[in-house]
Amino acid sequence: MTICTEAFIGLAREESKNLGMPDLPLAIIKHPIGGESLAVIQQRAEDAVEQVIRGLTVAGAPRGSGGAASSAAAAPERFTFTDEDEVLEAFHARRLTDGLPFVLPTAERVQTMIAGSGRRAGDVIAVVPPRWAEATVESIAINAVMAGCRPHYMPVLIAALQAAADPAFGLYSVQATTHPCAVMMLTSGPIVDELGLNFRHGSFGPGFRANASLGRAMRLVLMNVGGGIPGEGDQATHGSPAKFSYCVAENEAATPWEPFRVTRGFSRSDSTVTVFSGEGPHNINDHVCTSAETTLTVVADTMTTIGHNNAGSVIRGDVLVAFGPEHAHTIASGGLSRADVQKFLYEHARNKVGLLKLRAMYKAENWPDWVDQNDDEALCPIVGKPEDIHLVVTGGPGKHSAFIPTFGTSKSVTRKIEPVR
Amino acid sequence: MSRITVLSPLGINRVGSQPIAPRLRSLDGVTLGVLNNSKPNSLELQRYVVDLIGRRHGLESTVIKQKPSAAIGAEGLEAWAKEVGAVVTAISD
Repeated sequence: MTICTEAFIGLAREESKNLGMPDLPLAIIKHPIGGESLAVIQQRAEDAVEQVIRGLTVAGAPRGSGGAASSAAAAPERFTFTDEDEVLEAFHARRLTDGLPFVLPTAERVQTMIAGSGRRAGDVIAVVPPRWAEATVESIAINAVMAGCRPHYMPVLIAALQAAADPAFGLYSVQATTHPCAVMMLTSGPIVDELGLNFRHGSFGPGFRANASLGRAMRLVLMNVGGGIPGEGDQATHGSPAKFSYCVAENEAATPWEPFRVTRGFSRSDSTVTVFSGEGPHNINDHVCTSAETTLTVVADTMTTIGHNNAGSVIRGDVLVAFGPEHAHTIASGGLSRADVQKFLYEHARNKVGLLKLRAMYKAENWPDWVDQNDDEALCPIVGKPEDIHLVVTGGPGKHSAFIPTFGTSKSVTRKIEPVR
Repeated sequence: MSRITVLSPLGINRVGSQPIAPRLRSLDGVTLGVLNNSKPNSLELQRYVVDLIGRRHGLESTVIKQKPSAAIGAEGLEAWAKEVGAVVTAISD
């Protein structure tokens, strides 16, 4: 028996249906629960109790026969329209787009896209929550066509979806949360030049076909295959522009340390994609500092806020700092290794316990054991260890970097991009 | 007149229909489980509900299982399901 506030009915019903139990009883009460006084919570409980008792005892006979899941291969449904305008209007009406026009997914285009993957159309790449639907090569290709991808982008998209579906990433909660996190794709390796992924001016967007279409394809798969529809399977309060497209490439030539993929255990000759449950980038603007330490102090200060999820979830998540090339040069000129930078940021990006108490020690059970929760002056880091502050260099000239906080309750995942066989 | 045929971008959910647990005749003598996801005020809400139920029915006991985070699935549910007669969960913010 599930108690559900009014604002979450869409998600609750959607999930019940997706898990094969559309008639699972709900006790509906007013929203919200968080931030309300105990007197209000008591009233909410009184509103729920009759429904709970009824749902546990008189919800009707068990529905469904517990039949076996469908195992037959099913081709995607086909729609026939008079003209292109009718296709666009129909897809928008059925919420099959991200709100923007798209490339029509004709059979011919989809077949060409599938060929670009080097895989069979029916291969299941991932099962995507919260709809728990299969992302086959074909369904991925359909969404990739819509996004404007070129066929040889498919190996990147497939690897990214495999990474996102890894249990360590926690895609279920990333999709459904009220938090604005998007699935950010960070590419590293020879694939960057091979596909023309942009890593200089405007590396976070807009303007470049590979970045824009790959990020968009990921979002369309998450929506159309995975059911991450705003207000239904996606409960994000605001969402984010990053949820339209969020594909970034490493500026390896400007990286003073080992390439990002090497830090993840891959070789220099490999190409990888790493998925983060990232907020949109928080700018770090510093035009004054001339030393590594002072520059990193500015970076750490930008990371230090009680308003992002990492402040509370600490040990469960990781974050990304994206240095612009000029900041990276300043820092490396101070003789700091990548590990030195991670250590500095870990030690300086910390919130006071007294300030965190404003959020009622939110998720304090996820703080490191050594943080004295009874000392208002004690400092709490935003991740569990320095290695959970990932660093990458991306972007063009200019004294800017970016901090990307994450959903905080899961870690980033890296997959090797397999070449087409 | 030429027409355009396009493919649906939707994924296929292959989860079969699942029966929900049989409803209880009464909550008297039942061990009631509470699955909590650590969201602010969620445990207070569930405790109030259980307390109100307890005033109307002679519950055997209440067992609270708390997840460290709403974003992480609960563990040990199959074993826990054998200990309790019914479970109250919640979804919200």
